[in-house]
Amino acid sequence: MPVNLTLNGEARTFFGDLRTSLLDVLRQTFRLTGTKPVCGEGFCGACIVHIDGVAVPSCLRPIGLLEGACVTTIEGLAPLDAPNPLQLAFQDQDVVQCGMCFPGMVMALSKFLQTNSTPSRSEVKAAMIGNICRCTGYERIVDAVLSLQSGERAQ
Amino acid sequence: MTAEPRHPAVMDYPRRDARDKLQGRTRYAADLGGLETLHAVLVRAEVASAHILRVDVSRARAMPGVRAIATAGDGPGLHGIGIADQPLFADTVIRHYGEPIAAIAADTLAQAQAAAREVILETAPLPPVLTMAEALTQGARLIHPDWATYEVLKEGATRGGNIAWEARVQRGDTNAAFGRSDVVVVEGTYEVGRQSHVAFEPRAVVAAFEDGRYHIQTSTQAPWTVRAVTAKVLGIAPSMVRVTVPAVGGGFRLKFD
Repeated sequence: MPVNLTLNGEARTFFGDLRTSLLDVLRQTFRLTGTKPVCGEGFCGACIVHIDGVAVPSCLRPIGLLEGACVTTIEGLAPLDAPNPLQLAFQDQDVVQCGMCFPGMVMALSKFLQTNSTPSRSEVKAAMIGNICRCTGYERIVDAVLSLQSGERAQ
Repeated sequence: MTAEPRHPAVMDYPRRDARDKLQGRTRYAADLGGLETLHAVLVRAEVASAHILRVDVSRARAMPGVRAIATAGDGPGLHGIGIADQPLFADTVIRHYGEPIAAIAADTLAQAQAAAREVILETAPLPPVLTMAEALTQGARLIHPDWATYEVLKEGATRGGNIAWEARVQRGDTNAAFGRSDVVVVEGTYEVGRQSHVAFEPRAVVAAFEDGRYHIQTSTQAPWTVRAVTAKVLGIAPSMVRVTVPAVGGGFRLKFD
């Protein structure tokens, strides 16, 4: 049974095993490799995408449950020539190291900032609880997120 | 010539690769293989020490999607850093937990994993030597009884028995420093578990024979070692092996060998 979904604004159809994770479908079927496979168990955050406006780990979502869903991946988050402000802050403030966590980090935090555009430092840290950075660049990530607002609550 | 630079050196150039990494465009090693790429798993020893009585891969070879299986006979010889003491695959003896027994390539990872469960490995237990202290005791069982015949890849180290390579660091006059009246010497022994970095990107390699030579794309911090060992194992000139390193998703020294 095919699965029809909207992927980065385009209608796409998946034919195959309905138990396949969305992560594998993105990477193997559609070759969207920006979504990273790391733990495969929902702990690391590297594979976070937006499904119907919610940031979730794609490794835990079987494709069979996504008929009619609207999925946005890191490739579809913003135009190549116009990154969103969070991506620009990470770039301009030299936050990126090995980079493997950033697709998930950007997807999780960009959604978080839509719900809370003036977070405190501890709120940013709480929002990152599902995203591991093995280069341990957390503080710079938090600093960059906080730089997107006026400094009043940024402590 | 004047020694005065016209402009001060600028050391904070932006990372050339940051934009791609933030947009999901960066291709790490595991991102390179499309549907045309076979997937491989290693069958590893699940005991620390044993004689190998039988490795039978015939059932695994007949599993769906399996394209090739390599065992000790396919990669003979010993390799290593300093001393050539490591086989590619265990042949007659298992010397450590996790030692590779076979590699299986299949159309999908799941097929390779399913085939790995069909490999028959029969062993007879050998007493393990699990700690450095145990290995250094008088009369300890030799992990490598043939150590004296092994090829020395880098001369100069003391070796023998269970000591593959002994290195010492000597800096300054430690005895004199410890003998000073204003110095208190506190002695203790501290033991920590074995440490292994868990890079976000695990070990990954995509290999192909293309354009008349081998092309290995791998997440490594030591491409020259990969090239040299690959050439040695295959019995070919190093110039036949091209190693390229895509973006590395965390190395932390883990990917130095």
